[in-house]
Amino acid sequence: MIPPNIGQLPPELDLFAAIFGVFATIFIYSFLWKENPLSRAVEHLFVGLAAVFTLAFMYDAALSQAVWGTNRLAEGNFIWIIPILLSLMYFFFFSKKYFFLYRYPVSIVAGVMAGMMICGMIQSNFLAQIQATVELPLVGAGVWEGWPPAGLNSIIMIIGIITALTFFFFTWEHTGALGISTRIGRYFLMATFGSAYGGTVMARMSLFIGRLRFLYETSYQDWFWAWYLVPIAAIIVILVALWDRSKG
Amino acid sequence: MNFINEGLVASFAMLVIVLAEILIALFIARGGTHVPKIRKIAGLEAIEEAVGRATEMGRPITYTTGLGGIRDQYYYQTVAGLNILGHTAELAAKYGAKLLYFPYDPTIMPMAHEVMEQGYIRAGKQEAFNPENIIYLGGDQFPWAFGVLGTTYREQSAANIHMGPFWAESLILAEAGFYTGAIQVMGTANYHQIHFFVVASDYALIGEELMAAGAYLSKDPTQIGSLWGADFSKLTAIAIMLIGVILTAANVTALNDFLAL
Repeated sequence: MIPPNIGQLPPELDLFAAIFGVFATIFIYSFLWKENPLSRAVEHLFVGLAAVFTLAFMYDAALSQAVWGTNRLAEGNFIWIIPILLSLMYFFFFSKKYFFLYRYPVSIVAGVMAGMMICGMIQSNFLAQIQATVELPLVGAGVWEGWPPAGLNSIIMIIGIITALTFFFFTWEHTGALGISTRIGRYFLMATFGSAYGGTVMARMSLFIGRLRFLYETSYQDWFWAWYLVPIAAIIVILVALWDRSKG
Repeated sequence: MNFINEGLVASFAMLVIVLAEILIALFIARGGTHVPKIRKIAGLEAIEEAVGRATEMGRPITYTTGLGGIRDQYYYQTVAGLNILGHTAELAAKYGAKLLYFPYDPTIMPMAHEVMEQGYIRAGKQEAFNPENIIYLGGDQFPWAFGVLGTTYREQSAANIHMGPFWAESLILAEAGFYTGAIQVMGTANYHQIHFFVVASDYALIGEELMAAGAYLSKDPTQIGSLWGADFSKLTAIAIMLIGVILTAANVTALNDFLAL
């Protein structure tokens, strides 16, 4: 099994982690200026690490799920041979003669997932939406008081939901009354997208700010090394980019 | 033994209604009694334009199906993305353009391989299919996104097509297309990313338009029938909503009580 502290560097390597983190950050962001050998190197390193991590994680997950876990194959529960064999059948993809066998695990996994998800989808994407719409306040104490009144919001939402739904009718011509409804629905969808875009852009900015804070706050034994490393990394990027350009 | 799971009774009733509508519509369409026409979906029409443009410019097409696989709850979007990949591969083979595909989940690589190869076979150019154009860039969100960004830039893709479930990497992918001046066709049913695609791409498939692609492109009566049935289920939802709203306004809670069962 993968040790639980994997990925945590021993304290004596903190300095190395700080230097590496700062250089990798600057080299990656240098892509915004132009694609250069350093951004490419970090990109390949990043992709390679992700591939290795995925391989190790999947291998570990498979073994701990089917072989080593409680009441699994190692403890005599032989029913787990079935998923293991199904998983191994994926490898028939590489055989010309038995290629068709690889389709069985794919079909079974896709079928099982479809069966498992449809109930949850009906509950969350269908019933819960109908329920929430039906329960919107239209009458009662205080519903039409204040500005904007809750009742008006409810009416706008009901119109928005119904007209937006009609936009997703695919087999009926969007003409006449249905055409008007779909047009209104499209406006509602665009207003929703605009509002969501503004909100999410702010969230993306917070990711960038998080990375800047990493550069600002990274220290080693109370020395804020990142402050000194950022200009060095920036100079290296400029030199390498100029060298790359001189090669043509 | 209690066979009734309280709290899921209404869900079960809805499931039965939706499945019945889809199955009836599917059998009617498959039997040939009535095969409805599907409305135009601009995003799907644009794929041919994108492939044609890439061919004229002699530059490749970049394609991804997002971060989904077949083992998660987003598998239906991934499958829709693979459907469109097959169509794109067929067009790329027909016009002689290079198509680069970047899978995220390793388990969909063999499916993508087969789907692409079938596309080339349909175009009568199986020998032009190159498995090395399916490039695995690791199964982690940002390394994958950065890998797609870098490769798109180096290859100077002229068409950037992304169809499937996407998360925070969606704008990074759109940025890659912007850098190379590519025509961008993107689609997702992840409501928290659709707005990025609407803003950043030339053509966007919104929500269920992505899932309609299979029927739209194949013109297969069975798939069109299933889509027709799904339209009826949406009509049912609208009818229940309207009845529910009127009943609630009249202080009749029978429908609300049933939906909570």
